Amino acid sequence: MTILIGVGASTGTAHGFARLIHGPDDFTQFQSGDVLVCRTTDPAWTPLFSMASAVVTETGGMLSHAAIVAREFGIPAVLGVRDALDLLADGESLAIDGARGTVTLMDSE
Amino acid sequence: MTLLTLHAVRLLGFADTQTVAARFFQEPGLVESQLIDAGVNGLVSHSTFAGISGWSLSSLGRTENERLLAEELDRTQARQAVLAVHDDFADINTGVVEACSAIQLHTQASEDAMDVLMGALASWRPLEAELTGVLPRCEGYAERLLRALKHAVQDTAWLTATDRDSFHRVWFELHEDLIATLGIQRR
Repeated sequence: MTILIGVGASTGTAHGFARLIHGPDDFTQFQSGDVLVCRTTDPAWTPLFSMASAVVTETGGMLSHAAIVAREFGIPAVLGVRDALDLLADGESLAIDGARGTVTLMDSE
Repeated sequence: MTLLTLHAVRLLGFADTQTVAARFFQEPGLVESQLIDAGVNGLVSHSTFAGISGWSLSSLGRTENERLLAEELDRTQARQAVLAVHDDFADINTGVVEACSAIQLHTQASEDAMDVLMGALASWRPLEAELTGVLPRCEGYAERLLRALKHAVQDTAWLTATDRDSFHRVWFELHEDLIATLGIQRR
């Protein structure tokens, strides 16, 4: 089982398919219930949070804007996961634990 | 394509024509034609997303926005002034995100959070005056932050909510405006 570790910035657990979003051009690929995986976010990304089951970012931490927005939507967030965009692939089944700060690849179990 | 229309889309993220026009008090008909032209050129796209329809920047549009912002900084010779404002903003920002997090997590620090945010607004006011002295388009953040704090006295959702012009939403937009203007990447 592969587990990636980051900062648990918004509590809760979720399962979903990884959707790697590199920029606004990828937004329309995002489906409701997907796990948002990205480098960082800015205000343009807020609508994605409303559809996401969880958020995983390469940057940020407990005190970042992404953490605050994730808490508002009540979805788990694991931030500061180094190289998440390289280590995760589109469509992989993930289990997110926003309290422990873990991202578990379910396919590799 | 004017800087203001493209930058409004950048700051708003995803918004309809009326909202894009209102961001910098532009005429909606003019803005609509600019957005259509920008769409033809691949700078923005119009889509229905998360149940709402609106405009968003493409990667190409983001690059063009940053080119226009850099041109604006050179033309106005405002780079040093904006850098100084950004540095001071970064110091205040730490307290703001701590306060917003404390409010959401109901920690002991949440008792002082409102005072922290009021202090942040007081600290931001002179910085906004400096900023608008060189870039008048940056006016209005302090007024919106104050409005959010006034609403928050009755309803604390106005501090961190995403469905209204809450304190954090305005602050997040201000942060985006500063780093976009300077062409720096979010860490």
